Amino acid sequence: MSTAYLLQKLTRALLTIWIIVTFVFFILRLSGDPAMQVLGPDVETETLEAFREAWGLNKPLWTQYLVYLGNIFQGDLGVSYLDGRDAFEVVAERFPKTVSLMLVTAVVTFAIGIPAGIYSALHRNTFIDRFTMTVSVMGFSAPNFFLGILLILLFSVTWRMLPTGGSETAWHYVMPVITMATAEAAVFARFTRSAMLDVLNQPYIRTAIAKGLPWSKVVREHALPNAAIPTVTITGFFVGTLIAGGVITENVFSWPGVGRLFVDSVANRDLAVVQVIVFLIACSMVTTNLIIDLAYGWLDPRIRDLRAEN
Amino acid sequence: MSAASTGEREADGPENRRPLLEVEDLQRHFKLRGTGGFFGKKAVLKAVDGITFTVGKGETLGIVGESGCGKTTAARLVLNMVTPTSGRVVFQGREITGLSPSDWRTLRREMQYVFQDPLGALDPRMRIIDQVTEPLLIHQIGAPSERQDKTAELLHSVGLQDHTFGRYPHELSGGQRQRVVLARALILEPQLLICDEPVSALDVSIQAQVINLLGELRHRLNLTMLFISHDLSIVRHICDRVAVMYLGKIVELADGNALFDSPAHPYTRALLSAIPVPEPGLKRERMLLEGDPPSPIDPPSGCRFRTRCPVVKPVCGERTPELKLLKDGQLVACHVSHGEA
Amino acid sequence: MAENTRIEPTGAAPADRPKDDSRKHLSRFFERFPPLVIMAGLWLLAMIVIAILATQLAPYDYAAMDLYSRLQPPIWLEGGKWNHLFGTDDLGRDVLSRLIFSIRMSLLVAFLGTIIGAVLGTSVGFMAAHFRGVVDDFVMMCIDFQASLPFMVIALAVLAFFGNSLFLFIALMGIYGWERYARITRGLALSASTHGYAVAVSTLGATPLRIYGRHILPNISSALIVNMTLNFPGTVLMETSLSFLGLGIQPPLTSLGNMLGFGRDYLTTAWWIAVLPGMTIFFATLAMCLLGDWVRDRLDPTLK
Repeated sequence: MSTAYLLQKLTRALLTIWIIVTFVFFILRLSGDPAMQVLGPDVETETLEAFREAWGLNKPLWTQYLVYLGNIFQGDLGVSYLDGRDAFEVVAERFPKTVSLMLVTAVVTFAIGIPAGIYSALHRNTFIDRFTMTVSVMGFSAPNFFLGILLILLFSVTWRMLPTGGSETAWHYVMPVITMATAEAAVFARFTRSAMLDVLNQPYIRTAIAKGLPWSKVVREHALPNAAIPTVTITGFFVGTLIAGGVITENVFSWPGVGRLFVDSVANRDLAVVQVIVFLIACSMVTTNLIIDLAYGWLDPRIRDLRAEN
Repeated sequence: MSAASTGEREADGPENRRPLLEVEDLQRHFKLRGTGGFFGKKAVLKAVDGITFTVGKGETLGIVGESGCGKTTAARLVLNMVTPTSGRVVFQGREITGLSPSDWRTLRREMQYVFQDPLGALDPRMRIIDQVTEPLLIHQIGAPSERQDKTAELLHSVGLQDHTFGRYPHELSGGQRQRVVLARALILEPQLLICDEPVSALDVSIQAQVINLLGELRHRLNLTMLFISHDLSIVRHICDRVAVMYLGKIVELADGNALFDSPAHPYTRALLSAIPVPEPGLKRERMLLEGDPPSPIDPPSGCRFRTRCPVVKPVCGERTPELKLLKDGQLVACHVSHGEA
Repeated sequence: MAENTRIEPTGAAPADRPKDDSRKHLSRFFERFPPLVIMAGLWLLAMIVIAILATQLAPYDYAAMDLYSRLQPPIWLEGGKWNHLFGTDDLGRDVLSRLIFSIRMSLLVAFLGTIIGAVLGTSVGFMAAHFRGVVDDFVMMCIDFQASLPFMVIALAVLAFFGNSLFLFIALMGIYGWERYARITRGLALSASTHGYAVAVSTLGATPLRIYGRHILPNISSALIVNMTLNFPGTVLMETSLSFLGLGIQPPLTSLGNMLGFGRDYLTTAWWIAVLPGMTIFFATLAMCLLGDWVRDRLDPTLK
């Protein structure tokens, strides 16, 4: 793959991060006095002044912006006024829990959603296909917070099988993962199915069959690899919905992760923490999209050659 | 014509009859993105590289050439649908290059354009009578009650009947659609009509009908026309004078009959030799051009045609030939034809 | 591009036709309007009617407290009484009435949000296509930004910084999804302006306003409407999610989301407070998805 392609995508990624940082800077400015907001309402005047000095709030906007960028590079994003510690630290310690939840969800989603979609495509219009598609429509229509509450109602309150909240044991993973994975798996099932159907309708599949290849080989060597390409692109969206879904799910199940911290910080207007989380999410998404773009370019020879030509 | 704009008004020449349209050294270059690397000079596509011609009132000038020679771009330059990179266009003695958009909107009453693809030129969601009436609405001509009558009259004169008026473009045939486009162009009673391959998208049998309609309308309304086409037989039928374009330049400009009877430029000769002759058994001496047509991004030095020219001489690669008078009303850009080789 | 499809009358069979003809008519009717889609349509219609006639339909005011009847179960459970059909919540407020008013609030916010988003997105898209250059680059940058973060994150950030007022919240719902309208409009306007009837009408001397308003807009409207049907359920979900988290519609106003949020604390004792609004949201989004799919298939089968 050409370096020009790589460079172009990398530049785009960095540009996006820069835009997000600028956006946060502006709403921070627009919404009031940053010193009061970041430090909280009950703080002494000297601390406020010191903060203003450190962040250059008494200087013109342009200078403030540069100081802001500088601070970010040094990793100094302020102190959580609720907690008292450095905001980055507060967020970082919650990170592993959130990541573990997302990883398990991702595994479950891929394990269920993709095979379901492929199977449906291969057995089009049979009972299984229609059943799967109906279930998946219901799956992604159900708002995840409602699904979570229903699950708690059934499994925790009524049947007392699973714990309602927290994250200590493996059992604690069951309900949150089901909550998040249902909608995602449904989307993947539908999408994989239509991707497969598109591919199966292509002339080269018919050619492969006409050549006398056994069906399983056709599927394995021609259909699946080509259907994989569009599936890779929605993985990008998947990460986004995972994050958004995670925010809600962590709340429903009192999961001690970044999502829950996010909502609490928003409710309490602990802006230093909010900033850190926004940047963290931005970097994750941009990185994921970059990886996916590169994977996409590598997988699909048409894209590869197109870029090389240009 | 509105006097709202500040165009130059040139003094009348010794003959009182100025040409309606004068084009001087009109050029249109496109800089190509993605070429020349990150810091290098971008490649330039010279779609139209300095053309000069005039069209007298009531005259029909044809512009012919192969695809990509720049004839459509030339037509669009006249109407400012594409802005010229340099050069002037003078219309009715007034310079119209560089007019403001609002001045152009008023000027459009005098100059109209007929498109190649009638289906693409019509709004799929409007009935054809509304579309042909729209120009009157835009320019606030006539009382609202009179407008529909005027439209109906014009639609009749292009050969469309009442029952088609309420239809939508996709409900009409290709020939009918082109008549609608013609009607829409003519309803403002323009001085100049530019037709860009008006019949290429139509079936051959319909082509003749529409061409005859054009000829008839031209006489009745005393239209001045610029007729772009790659079909030489049609051009011969309808045009008074013809300009031949190659890779953005005019290589020959002559009276229609003179061009077809005694073409001077080697390219013109090759084009004419390719016209099928409707007589079985009669073979025409075919002049086959060798080589691929060069790209307009990197044209050959000197005479652009020299890479395919059967009579090429060394001087052709050194100097670009000018479009000069060869004999009576026939201009040619060729060293060999002028005996300079 | 929409064709002139004329709806053929399905027609009732005349009295003297044999019985299996009417069965055929019936099956053909259900082919064009699958029963599920009909039910979805009816449910949504019911919700709209409820939203409009909320004040007339609700037996109580949504904030009226009946402290003697706190946490009373709905009528079909033991302990339920006729005075509160769907039971009451922890403050004795009638769940049915609150449900009705919540439907109105959620639908209203989603509707306003969709309109704002569509108008904003379409105008911006047109501007980007018309002015090109710097304007276009700026618009594309905004679109990229919006698409780079999940909207939930953007919304939470804005709510954190600006606090919560109903006005701001509705504006936020308006911003949800504007970038899709902008992208569609920009793309279609760009392609329309380079060839086709837009160029033709400009040679007639039309002003850009006329070209965009009378020609391009009507022709891209089907794509925009399709996008609206896609966007609406998303807007509803976004509002309910944020309200559920306590960051959306604030009390005393009630929305389906915040009912669920408050009800969560009473799952063990009074599950109906949370479950009933939850079911409503579920059926609403399900119905919108089914209906939206169907509308898309009818409007442009090539999108499948």
